[in-house]
Amino acid sequence: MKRILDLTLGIVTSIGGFLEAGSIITAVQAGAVFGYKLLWTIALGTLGLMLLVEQSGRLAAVTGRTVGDALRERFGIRFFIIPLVTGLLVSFLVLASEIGGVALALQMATGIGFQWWAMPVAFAGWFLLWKGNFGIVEKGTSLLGLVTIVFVVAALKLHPDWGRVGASLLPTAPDHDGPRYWYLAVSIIGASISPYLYMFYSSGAVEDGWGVNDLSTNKATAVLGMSFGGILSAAVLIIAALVFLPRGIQVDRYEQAGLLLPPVLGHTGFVLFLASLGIACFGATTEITLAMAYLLAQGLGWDWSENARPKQNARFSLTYTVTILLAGVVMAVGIDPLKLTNFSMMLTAASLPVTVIPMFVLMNDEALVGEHRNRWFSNAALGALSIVTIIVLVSAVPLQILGGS
Amino acid sequence: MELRIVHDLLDKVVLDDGRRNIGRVDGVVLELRRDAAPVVSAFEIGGRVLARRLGPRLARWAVALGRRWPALGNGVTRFAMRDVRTTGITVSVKCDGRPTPALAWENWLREHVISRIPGA
Repeated sequence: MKRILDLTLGIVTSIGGFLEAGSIITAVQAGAVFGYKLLWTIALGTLGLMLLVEQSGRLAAVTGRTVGDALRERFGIRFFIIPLVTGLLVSFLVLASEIGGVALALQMATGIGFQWWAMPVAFAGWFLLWKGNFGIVEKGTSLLGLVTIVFVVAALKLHPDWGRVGASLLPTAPDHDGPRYWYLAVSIIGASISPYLYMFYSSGAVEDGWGVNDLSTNKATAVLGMSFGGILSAAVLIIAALVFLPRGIQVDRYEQAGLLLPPVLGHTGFVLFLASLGIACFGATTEITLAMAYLLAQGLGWDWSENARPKQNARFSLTYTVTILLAGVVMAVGIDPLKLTNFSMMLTAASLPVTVIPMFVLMNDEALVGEHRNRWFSNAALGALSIVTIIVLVSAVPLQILGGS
Repeated sequence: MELRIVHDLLDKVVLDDGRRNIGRVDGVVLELRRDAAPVVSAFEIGGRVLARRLGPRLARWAVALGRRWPALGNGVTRFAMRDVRTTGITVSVKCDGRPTPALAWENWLREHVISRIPGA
């Protein structure tokens, strides 16, 4: 019984915690310009994330080591410094974007500029980390995040052409604005597969004391949780395709995204959009902050746990405190949250190879994962994903220049 | 006893008697012997040691930083191999890590910063 409850909670958590600033904004932009055409990138990104979440969870359950631990232990500091520095840098920009997302939701609700909200939001996130434990941070915000299911409801109410939706799951070339199309394709992949997600997930598995008995829960959470989560992103894109594309609305300001639901659900739609954006981004804010503190603490061998009192792990607590407040400052000085979100999704996508490719070595190391090492299917899928991440890395800079605005 | 330095020692988490993480093995000390294979006599934890492995320029910066602000210099903690209980996925040592330079920063921050914030 407890197992079923844990399993359900795990899946529900990953659904409620799936959407964040990047996935919402990139899906809205894609739907508004290209209709359903870019749905395949959400499918691809979700499959990639599913694969990495399953493997990093399996690594943690079998060895008690997180991805961060294993990267340093297996490859040494001379390699580890690359994922460490890129991971912290990219996550910091994504973190600032998420704080921007919450602040923008509050701006749209109150009329008070987002810059004024940035520090209060950062402080609220810090307060939750300081006073809460891992369960509250992960499950609390994710359960509230279930409000994002409103996107699925709205998409269904719009009666999309399911035949065309299905056809868009296969990649097609664009018939106009090629650079913008591929720019959004890469951004969506970056928004779906953020390294902080599987770093956070494997640390969470260690926080929760997972063992080999939890492998089935891990697999189910990865497959079902990520699939349902991907459906939420797809729903956002479908709504944008049906609401924005016919009206010629292209989203170059955050506030325009607020017009997504009112045509379908009226004023309630506006309120629910703000709630979804605010809660989803707030959940991501706390998770990314923790993921960064986890990565640094694991990499340098400090004690870390969100379940301990802050003073028990002073360097760890100081890291998340400084990180979240600094990211708040970035938003408070008035950087455009939408531009930052787009830019950081692109950077995330470009940073993928440094964590994805080493997973091959980790998950095939018999001394590390023993009989639970990858089978041919996981390796083939990881291989395909690695190729995708390399293509993304190579194309990121030209696409940022050609399709970025 | 044969020891696989990279596989079982270098970069592993170091645990003390109280199962506290005191850092990672940032470097090893080899003792060269006449007419015999070198032996690992100790390992070290410390930013300066880590910087040395990352490159000569970083190592110079770390030394200069320590000289400019001595309070920032964490110092280097060295454990003799005879104090090592086990090696492998983690390395455990027979001692209390709290008074070592490896935890100096942790202790200082706890006392002077974190404990002063309400709710810590």
